[in-house]
Amino acid sequence: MSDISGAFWRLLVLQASWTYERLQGIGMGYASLPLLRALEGQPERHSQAVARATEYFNAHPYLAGIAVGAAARAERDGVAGATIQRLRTALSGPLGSLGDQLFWIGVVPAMVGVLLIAIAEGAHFWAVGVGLVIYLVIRILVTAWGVKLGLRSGIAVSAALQRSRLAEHVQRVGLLAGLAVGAAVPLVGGWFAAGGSRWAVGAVGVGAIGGVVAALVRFRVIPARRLTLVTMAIVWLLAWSIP
Amino acid sequence: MTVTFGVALGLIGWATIAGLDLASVLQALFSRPIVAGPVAGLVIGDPETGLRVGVALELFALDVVPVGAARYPDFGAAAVASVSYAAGTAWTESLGAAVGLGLVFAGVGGMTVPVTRRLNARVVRGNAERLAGGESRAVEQVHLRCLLHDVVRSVGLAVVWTGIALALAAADLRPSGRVGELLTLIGLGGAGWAVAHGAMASARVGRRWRWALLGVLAGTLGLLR
Repeated sequence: MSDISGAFWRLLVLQASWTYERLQGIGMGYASLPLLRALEGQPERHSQAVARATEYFNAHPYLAGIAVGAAARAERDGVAGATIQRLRTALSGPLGSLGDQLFWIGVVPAMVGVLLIAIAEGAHFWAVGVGLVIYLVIRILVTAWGVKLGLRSGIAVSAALQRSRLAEHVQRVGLLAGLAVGAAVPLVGGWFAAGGSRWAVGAVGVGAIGGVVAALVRFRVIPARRLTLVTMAIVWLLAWSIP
Repeated sequence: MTVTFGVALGLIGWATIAGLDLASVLQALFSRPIVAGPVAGLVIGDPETGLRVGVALELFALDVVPVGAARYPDFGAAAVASVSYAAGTAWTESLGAAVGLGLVFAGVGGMTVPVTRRLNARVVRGNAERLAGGESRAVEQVHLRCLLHDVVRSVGLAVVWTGIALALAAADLRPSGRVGELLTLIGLGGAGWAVAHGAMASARVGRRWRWALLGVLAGTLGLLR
């Protein structure tokens, strides 16, 4: 297994050793080890590089490979330890924010929204299978691309990241997510109604209006999950107590 | 609906995969109810219920953003348990209770994630010297031991949640008739609330707002067609 593919596979379990002290630090070190093998002939440099790789770090798990690759390349190039630590610190925040915006608030809701629409339109299981495969391909390609970009760029990774125009996609994917999830809500309500729950459209619609109003007035005292459970419990108790 | 030992094992195995996907392994869509639910439906032999429960719970999951140190519910194993609970019944009567059960399991399951993270921290502190010395073997051992924590957590949740759901189903502790239908409507109303709130909360940029509204209009037109 090549160094790059070794790092890639390890990046898929990056967050297994997440802690509140180092966050992804240990996982970063674990993923960096194959890329740092080139330094094994120089034990002191190697151990210093490994120790640095396990220090505090936090980024989006899909984009963390960029930092793994960049820091490993810098270590191989003999860049000063303090500079590598600064590079890791400089990458941590932006890669976290960019990844959260791009994936957790962009690609995931967009993909889920499209899946919901497809299911509501009668696509059933094949939509779930196709959606899962497409998402897996995205996840794998982004991780592999990140390691290669970081390894190619080293200390100049920020400029390479800017050239990649990744940030520009955030806005587009976000708009697509809004559109897909927005369209999915009435269609899913209709799908439940067509399946036999007559008032489903009304229930989803009234709930959605409540959710919008709650978001507008920043009402977050009772999250939707708790509100639903409390309402269900009251109804069930009333149904039990009333003969 | 009779659930054989093999099917129960299949459900537990699938719930474990969904649990691991939440934070430790891959972090793809396996832990999302829209995937976990339908697959559980196929395993137990009631694909329709799997799809319905998965979609309903997914609307709740869209209100959650799993960033860094934030505490978030674990919907994967919960969705599998919800489907196990509702399978073999008329979904119009059992969906609400299944969603309620799923929300409780997801919330409690989410609380186990910080526990494993504290256990991880203990392992890291115990190996602090070796890690500071840059021992590759120490890094690998610590990481794999931490991974084992999440494997144990995921298997545990899968066994407990699926076991409880199957026991409740076997005892037929599921609402039916008007009460069941009313609970289903409450569940769908809550799902609508959650997805709308989630969409609004993440629509910090003005244009995304308008696109979501455009989507609602397009979806409504599609519904009326």
